[in-house]
Amino acid sequence: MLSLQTERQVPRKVVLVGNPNVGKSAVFSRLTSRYVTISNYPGTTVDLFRGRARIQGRDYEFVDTPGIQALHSQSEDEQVTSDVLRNEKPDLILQVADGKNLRRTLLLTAQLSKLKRPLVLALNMKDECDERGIQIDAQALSKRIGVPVVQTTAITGDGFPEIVDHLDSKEFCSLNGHPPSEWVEEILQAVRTEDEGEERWTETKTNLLSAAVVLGALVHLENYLGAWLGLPTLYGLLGNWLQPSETLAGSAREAVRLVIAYLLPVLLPFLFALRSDSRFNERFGIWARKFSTGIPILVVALSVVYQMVGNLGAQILVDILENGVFAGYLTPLLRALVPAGLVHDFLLGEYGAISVGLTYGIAIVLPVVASFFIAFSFLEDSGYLPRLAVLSDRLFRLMGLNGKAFLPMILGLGCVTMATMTTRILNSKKERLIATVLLALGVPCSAQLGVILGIITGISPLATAIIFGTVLLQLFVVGLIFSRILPGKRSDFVLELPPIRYPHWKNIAQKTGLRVKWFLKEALPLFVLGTVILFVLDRLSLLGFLVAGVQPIVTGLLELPSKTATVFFLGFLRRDYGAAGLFDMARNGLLTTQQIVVSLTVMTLFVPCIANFFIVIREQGLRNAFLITAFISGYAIAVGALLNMAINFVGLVL
Amino acid sequence: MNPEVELRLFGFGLFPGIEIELLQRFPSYIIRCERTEVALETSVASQVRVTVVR
Repeated sequence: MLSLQTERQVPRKVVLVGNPNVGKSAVFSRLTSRYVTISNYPGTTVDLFRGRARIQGRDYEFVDTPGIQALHSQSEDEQVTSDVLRNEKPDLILQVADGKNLRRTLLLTAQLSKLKRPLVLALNMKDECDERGIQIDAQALSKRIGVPVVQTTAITGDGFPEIVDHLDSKEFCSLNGHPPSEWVEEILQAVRTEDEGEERWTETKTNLLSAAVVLGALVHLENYLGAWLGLPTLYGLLGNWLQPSETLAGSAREAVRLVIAYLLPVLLPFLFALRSDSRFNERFGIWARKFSTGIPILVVALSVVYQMVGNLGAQILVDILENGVFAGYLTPLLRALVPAGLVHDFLLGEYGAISVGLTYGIAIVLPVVASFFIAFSFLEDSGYLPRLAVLSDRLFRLMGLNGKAFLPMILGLGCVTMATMTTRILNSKKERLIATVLLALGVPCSAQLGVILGIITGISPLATAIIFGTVLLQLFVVGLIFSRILPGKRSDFVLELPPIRYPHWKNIAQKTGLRVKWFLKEALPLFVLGTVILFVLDRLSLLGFLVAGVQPIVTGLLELPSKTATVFFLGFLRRDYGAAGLFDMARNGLLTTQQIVVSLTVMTLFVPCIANFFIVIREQGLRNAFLITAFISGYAIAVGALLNMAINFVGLVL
Repeated sequence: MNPEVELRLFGFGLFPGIEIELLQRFPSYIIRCERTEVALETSVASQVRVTVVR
């Protein structure tokens, strides 16, 4: 039988709105089954995400928006949300809120009600309310404000059937914008009760856990200190059982040794405490934002990340993949299959798409990117990063920014391109421009950082310090200069600190997977493309001309071998690819330590990659993008030349 | 007070008559307002007028 219901149905548009970091993206993901990046700090979502879903026979279009403090806010990400609400006339506004902060929530509800659209209020994070003994009478609240109120826990899915029940609601909110002091407190009194949350843990247990974490951190640090003082270390002791060697099994043993000596002592008690004791989380949150305790915590955190990414990822995983899989099996196998000739050279020659392009991308860069993203996702979800913004605020102020800029900067260590979009959370145009320049200039992305870490383990600590010192100094100098010459003002530092939470492994895995996939899609084709271009240029004997053209700069000014010119050329496509080329040269003994220092500094300061260039065009306009690129290219070479001269002048032996 | 900053603080539920808790002064001021911790730089914090109640 034909049904008359087949008329095309326009999907109901539901816009998710709310204060920053309340879980809008988590709710969105659950409603649409489409994963969007979720983290524990304000400003994860800086753009709109749309997703469709068919729920109980009806089509919906859900829109996830960047969090807003108020409806008429000023930063660019918040503007996106205001625009969508005003221009798209949603059929329903689903206000997602943190149940713990009902006052803030209702202030925003009152503003949203002026839009005269149907509204549903979802009080999220019910689990955390329960833990803290906060109880909200959803029905009483619903009566007061005239719209459905549901309590949810987005990560478990608790309360979602109720959301679905109200998706067709036509109720308008009855709150309107009287001075809040007159009505907010009265509503809060009527619907919210607070008592002491259930205490599963006593003060003594929290103290014991804290002690275990501190002890673990000390064991972790003793591995360095003991080696330096000639005392026995856990790492050294394990050497008796886990003898590292040149073989593949040796690499695996070394990995186990690293994990046991450096990671387990500090991570095990820490993870256990984070997971089981909310009082520990609160305490850690305080430690992390105080100067006296925050700095030691930062040192340990950096060291743990270094061990995971620089040592485990960049050394051992790279070794296993490159020497084990690629050099051990894949390349010899292909060499045997492909007869000598053009095809062979194209795939496996000096500029071979497989022997160079794929090997660099998959064997050298991918393990580093993956291990970095695991560590980084953990930091994101724990709520630790905004506390570092507090610690670094005063430093950023000298560069015409404020502590809030720490978030895009540190995100840049993951991917400079994504981070350039995140500069939207900054409140003034001037700050956005400075942050964009600094990101492009001197924040190495995970891929590049990993390759750098791979190279520096082979050179002296002094040489390492010179590289990182020079790059950091440039960030500072350029920030300082730009903050003086650019018009405009920096904004005041006001930042919300999320609670410290135990990260969910599922979210970390999803986020890492998403980012790795993105890397494979974005970077790998460029790696291969770059190699192919080199191959063609080489075949046509044009490469020699190109190299000769930049000869005065490369061999004259920077005193590097002429092959470095091709590597710099690769750096134009992606600077991590260029760094991978340097890695290869360094390993084959083609570079002296001084040359490594100079070339690596130039490469780190270089323009990041083509993808970043396009994002800068989108965010800052064509003119600014070209100016930034020209400035950075010149600046990178100038700094490299000066550095080389300085080392020569002082007569430093590295 | 800078109206922009005032608006932002208002967004945290910080309006006249509200009880807040001062948690830290250095390197930034940190206040607790309801269940939210907010970091403020000194120049902003100095514009918030408070009466000590406890």
